[in-house]
Amino acid sequence: MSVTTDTLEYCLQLHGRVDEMVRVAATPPPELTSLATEGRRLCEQGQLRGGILRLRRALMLLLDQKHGPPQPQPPPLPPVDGAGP
Amino acid sequence: MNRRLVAPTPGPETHAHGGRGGAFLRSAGVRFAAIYAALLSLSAIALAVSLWWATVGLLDRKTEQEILTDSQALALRWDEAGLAGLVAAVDERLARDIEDDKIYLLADPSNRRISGNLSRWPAEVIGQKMWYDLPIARAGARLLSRVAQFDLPGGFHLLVGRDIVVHTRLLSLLTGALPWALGVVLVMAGLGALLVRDLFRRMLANVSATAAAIAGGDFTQRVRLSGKGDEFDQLAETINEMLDRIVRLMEGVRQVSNAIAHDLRTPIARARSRLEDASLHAESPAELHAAIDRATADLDGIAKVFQALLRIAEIEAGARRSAFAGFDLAPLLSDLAELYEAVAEERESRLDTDVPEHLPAYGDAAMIQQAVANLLDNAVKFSPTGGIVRLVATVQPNAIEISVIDHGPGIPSDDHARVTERFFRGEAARSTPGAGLGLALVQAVAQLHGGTLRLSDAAPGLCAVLSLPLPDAQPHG
Repeated sequence: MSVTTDTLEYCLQLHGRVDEMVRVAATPPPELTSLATEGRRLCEQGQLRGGILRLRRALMLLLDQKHGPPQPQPPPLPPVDGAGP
Repeated sequence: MNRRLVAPTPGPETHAHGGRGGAFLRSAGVRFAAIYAALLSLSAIALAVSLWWATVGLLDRKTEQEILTDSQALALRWDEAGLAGLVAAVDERLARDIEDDKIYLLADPSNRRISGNLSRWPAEVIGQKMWYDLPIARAGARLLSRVAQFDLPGGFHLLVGRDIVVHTRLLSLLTGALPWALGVVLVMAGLGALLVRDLFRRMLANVSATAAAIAGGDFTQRVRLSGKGDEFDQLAETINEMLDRIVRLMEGVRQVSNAIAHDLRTPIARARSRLEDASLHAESPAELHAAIDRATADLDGIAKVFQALLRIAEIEAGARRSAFAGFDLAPLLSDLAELYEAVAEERESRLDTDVPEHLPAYGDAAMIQQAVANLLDNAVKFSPTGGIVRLVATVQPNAIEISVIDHGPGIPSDDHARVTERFFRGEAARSTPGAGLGLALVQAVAQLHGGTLRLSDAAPGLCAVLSLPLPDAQPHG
């Protein structure tokens, strides 16, 4: 049985959500745009896991900014490994 | 909501007779070795189980607790916002799944997917109250996920799970190492068992060899001590003490046998000679009767010796202890003094007496009187002409002491320890009548009453002290 959160479709859906939140955000963090862009690019190159991870990071940054309380610093991103379906 | 969402329970001699094989299995050394091997194996198994419990088991319990906590939070969301709220919560959790290890699936009563990251309801998940390890494919990798089903109101179902990659790898590592560990344990158990058996055999070989030598008649052999002072040395010391005691007892029996044979041979031969002489040469019935009377007297003497021996044996066996009672020793000593004053006068010596008016004692009165009589008899017998024999009785803090002192030749101090042996006769006593049983009887009486017989030099003469415990110190009844 396969999970559905490692697909290009889910990646694009996640990117759309991030993009929408960036648009409505008053002052989005500067690294947010690059995370979202890089995430989408990796997904389109077939590196789905890395792309989805970056988009999830971007989403976390946005939610943190929205809700205020500081969150623990996420671990550094792994190098792009080309893993994907 | 909690009452409607039920959480699953967190997961989890052979007898051989005859033949060499039978003898091998009956060997205590082999049994000890087997016990050692079994204990070592059990210890290794216990270690492996505790290792699993502390690693894989801990991770499993932690994962299951995390799933339960997450499911409780989702149930709360269902209570607050219904199906739409739960769908949003599941989507939110998946969107924030940085670790990329979460599994959610919300399904309708027909198990059709509503939300989550599984395409369909897994066929193997058929009820709650259980944990399932579900094989899944994530980003091209095949792995296991631990999941549980939670039932919601309206027939909806929620599946919550976490990947257990680390658990699987750790378990694989442990199970991979298990055959090697088992091999090492078996080798160690085997070597240790051989070592234990060899050690046991070496320890017992010493005792066994000594016992075999003793059984073969060599009573000089003793168990060797290693000098380590351990339990085996203590056992060896005890065995050696036992052997020494046996040798002493056997020597005593041999001496008594020899003494009986030696001391009784002369009077028996004399009686036989008299009867034979009378039979051959008596010229009148009067001569014949006189010879028979003398022979009878000789045989009476022999009978007395045997009576004395039996009496000593009886006393040593403690058979007379039931006749113990409280009594006043003073009149008994006065009677004895009166009797032996007359005997002393006949021998032109004197008996002085110093006895209290009352002397409460506890024991067998006749036996104690016999013992004191033996001491007085010896003292009067060995006292020189004009000598003085003293009979003194005193009450000490813990004992009654009856002292008999004479001024005869005495007994060399080297013989003091042996003079109470049966048939022992010192140099000075060789020419006097007696069988050498008097002091042996006194010693037996003293021991029966829990007292002592002490001999010392009276310079000149002998001082014999019979010490008897006071009535208060005696175990009455």
